[in-house]
Amino acid sequence: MKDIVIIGGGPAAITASIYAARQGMDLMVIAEELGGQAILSSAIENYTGFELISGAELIGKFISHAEEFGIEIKDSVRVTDVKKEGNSFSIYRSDGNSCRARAVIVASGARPRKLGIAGEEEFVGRGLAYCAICDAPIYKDKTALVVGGGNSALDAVRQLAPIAKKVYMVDVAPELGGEAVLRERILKFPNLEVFNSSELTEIQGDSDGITSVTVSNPDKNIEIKTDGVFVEIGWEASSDFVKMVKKNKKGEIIIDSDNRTDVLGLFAAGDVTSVSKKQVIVAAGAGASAALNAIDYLTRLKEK
Amino acid sequence: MKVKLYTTPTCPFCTMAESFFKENSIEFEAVNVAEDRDALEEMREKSGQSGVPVIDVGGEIVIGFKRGQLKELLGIE
Repeated sequence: MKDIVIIGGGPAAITASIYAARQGMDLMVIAEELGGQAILSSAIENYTGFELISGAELIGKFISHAEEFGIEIKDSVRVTDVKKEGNSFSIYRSDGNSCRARAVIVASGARPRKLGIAGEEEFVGRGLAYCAICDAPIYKDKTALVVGGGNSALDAVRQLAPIAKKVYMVDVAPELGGEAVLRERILKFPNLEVFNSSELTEIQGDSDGITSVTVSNPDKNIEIKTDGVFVEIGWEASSDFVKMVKKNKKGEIIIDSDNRTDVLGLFAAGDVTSVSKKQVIVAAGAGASAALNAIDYLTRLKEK
Repeated sequence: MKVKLYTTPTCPFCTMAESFFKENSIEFEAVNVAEDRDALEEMREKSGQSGVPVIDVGGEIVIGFKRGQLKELLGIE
């Protein structure tokens, strides 16, 4: 049995693992993907000590730091359930294995919100992308469609429009949101067409990938031919695998100022929690706090 | 073992994969599928994917940057 199992692979999880390892805890980190949202940021300018660093580089430093302590990181593995039995937890995984721990820190962050429409699951990685910064360059001389109207959607258009033949934007709101400067800039692209007050209702394609989509507004349904769809409709807490804990309406795990949840021995940190400020440095700090409070809890448990 | 990384110039997961190979002294070839259409087609055929990164490790295809899987395939402790 491990002392602590940490679920997640972003700044909160990795920082928690470093604090726990330095206190001699026997621990394991289980992450579906290393890096968290921070990795998608091309420029971080507000992490103390780094005037300018990319998310990938900063996370790379976090991981190297953790590996200095010989921390066991299991990535490419999803946690499917966490159950409490007596004074310990069972953590079930997508690879069919499970493990036990005296304390658990949930730091699984957030994941891109999905459309929940026909064709979405089928075409993930085959024309449907949640990472514009990764795949936008592939759309040189092609047609792409961006769903959403906030900053990340505007940013996807900013990357696509200069190289693509044609870019569509589909947004549920009557007007695009996001920062005014970025919005004005992208609206100047001659190859951009925006559908306001509209939503994507279906994605069609064949064995080669996406061929077209259906865009619906109250008046009509329109079929648009496109090679790719970029989904940029925000993020949601990645918390559904932990069912026993109290969450808010957004699915965020409710914590107190010591990163405790309503389940004794279960701690949470970072963007998966109800904290209002979602920042790399806030998440890293929360990971440290969760680890130290988990260690206090384990010390008291042993004294009993 | 031959390692081929299909990448774009802006993909952060590709940057992490490159750093990972360098740290572990793994020789690899990186191809930019945004410029090289033949490489894009090759990546699609091998993986069924049109998104990066895709990594070919001696014929085994890894979709995304998965350290655990790469370590296993490359025999890194």
